[in-house]
Amino acid sequence: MSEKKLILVVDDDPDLVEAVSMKLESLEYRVARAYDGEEAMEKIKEEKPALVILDVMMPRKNGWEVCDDIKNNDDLKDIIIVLLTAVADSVKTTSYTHHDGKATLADDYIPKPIDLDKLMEIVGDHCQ
Amino acid sequence: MTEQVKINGIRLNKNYIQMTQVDIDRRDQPCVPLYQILASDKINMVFIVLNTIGDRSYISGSIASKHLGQPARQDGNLDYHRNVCIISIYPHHYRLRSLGFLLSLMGRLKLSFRHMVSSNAMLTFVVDQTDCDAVIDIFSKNFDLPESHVPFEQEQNEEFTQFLKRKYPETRATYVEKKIKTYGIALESGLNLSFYLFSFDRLATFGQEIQSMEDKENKFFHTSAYMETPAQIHLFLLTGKKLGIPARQTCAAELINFHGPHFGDRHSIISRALNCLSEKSIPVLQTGCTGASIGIVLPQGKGEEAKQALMDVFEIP
Repeated sequence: MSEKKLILVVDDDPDLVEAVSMKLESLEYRVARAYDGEEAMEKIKEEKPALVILDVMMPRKNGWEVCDDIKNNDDLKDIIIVLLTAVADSVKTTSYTHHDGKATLADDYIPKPIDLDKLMEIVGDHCQ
Repeated sequence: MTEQVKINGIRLNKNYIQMTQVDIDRRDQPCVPLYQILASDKINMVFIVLNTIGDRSYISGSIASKHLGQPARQDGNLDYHRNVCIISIYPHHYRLRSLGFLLSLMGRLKLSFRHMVSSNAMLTFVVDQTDCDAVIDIFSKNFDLPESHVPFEQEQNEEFTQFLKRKYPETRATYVEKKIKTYGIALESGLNLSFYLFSFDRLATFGQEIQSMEDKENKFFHTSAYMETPAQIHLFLLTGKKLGIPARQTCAAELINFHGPHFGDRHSIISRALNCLSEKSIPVLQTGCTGASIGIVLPQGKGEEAKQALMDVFEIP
């Protein structure tokens, strides 16, 4: 039997972290939780997760910075990053688009409010 | 020595006003619910608790101090407390041990609070600002927190948040949807809602009793409490199995739980949720809203109908 993959869920909304974590645990993943960018970096270095589900706008260190730190570090760059951000289609002022999300060093992107099943699909595809 | 309860963080929001509307179900003095008044004035509530069972019905909400003097319209018995703060610990993992430990700690160290409510990750207290530092200090010392943890204060990060908003224009509190997007609406059935009424002096013992009820089979789904002067606590606990602690009132109940992006930053969300239930005459026993999460406790058998009603206002993309 293959080893259960470790997924790190990072968001400053504890309720979202909990909802995503519970869904992942129900699918037999191991889950670590972090609530800001600094804590995320500590957990990433300590636990070397297979994949990080990463919010963008967070206190202490934002998701972009975390993403850059991971992808520019030879020891960590293979960790898969899925970015989350709250872009609603009714927002007209944002310059942050799906395209911009993809243009980062992240491996994948999903807009908030996330479809949990879609997120699990993305995680499943990357963790095969 | 008892092992410390592990949590990941403490969240702090300062400079709020607590508004409490009591006896909301009096037929001789009907009043416009607080959440409707605030929604019509476009005032956001970052914390709300509503109760219609037990000895006292009430709605209580926290609004930012900048709204002092608002709303212009005041219905019912509206009580104000200036200078409160909102302190949350997370995650609780629905464990009776975590909840019991927290209540026991507050009882032993005589830390009073005005309100408490849970979300699916957080246990949130409204406390007087004068007690804020003491509560944070005690929580920090008595819970097992990550070494690097610092209590997250929204106000202290305001400059940083504004910088990020300019650089990466996100959607925080800037949009109103016709249908509000959620991460999904969950319904739990077959639960027991218990109402306990006791003096503050009994809080430590009550907390210990709750802790001792911890087992793998049982957890809490929702909890709220209201401390009424003089130090009388109204505490509500929604569990899977009945607890062995005699309650003043119990009833079979269901829980609807949902949340969405930036719910905590946007006005009218709770109003839209409760109005759509009211329009369909679906009774609500309890509502708790903290952070981005809304929990609605309903009489057993009303959950599915309520979920359908909510889908008229909310959507799952």
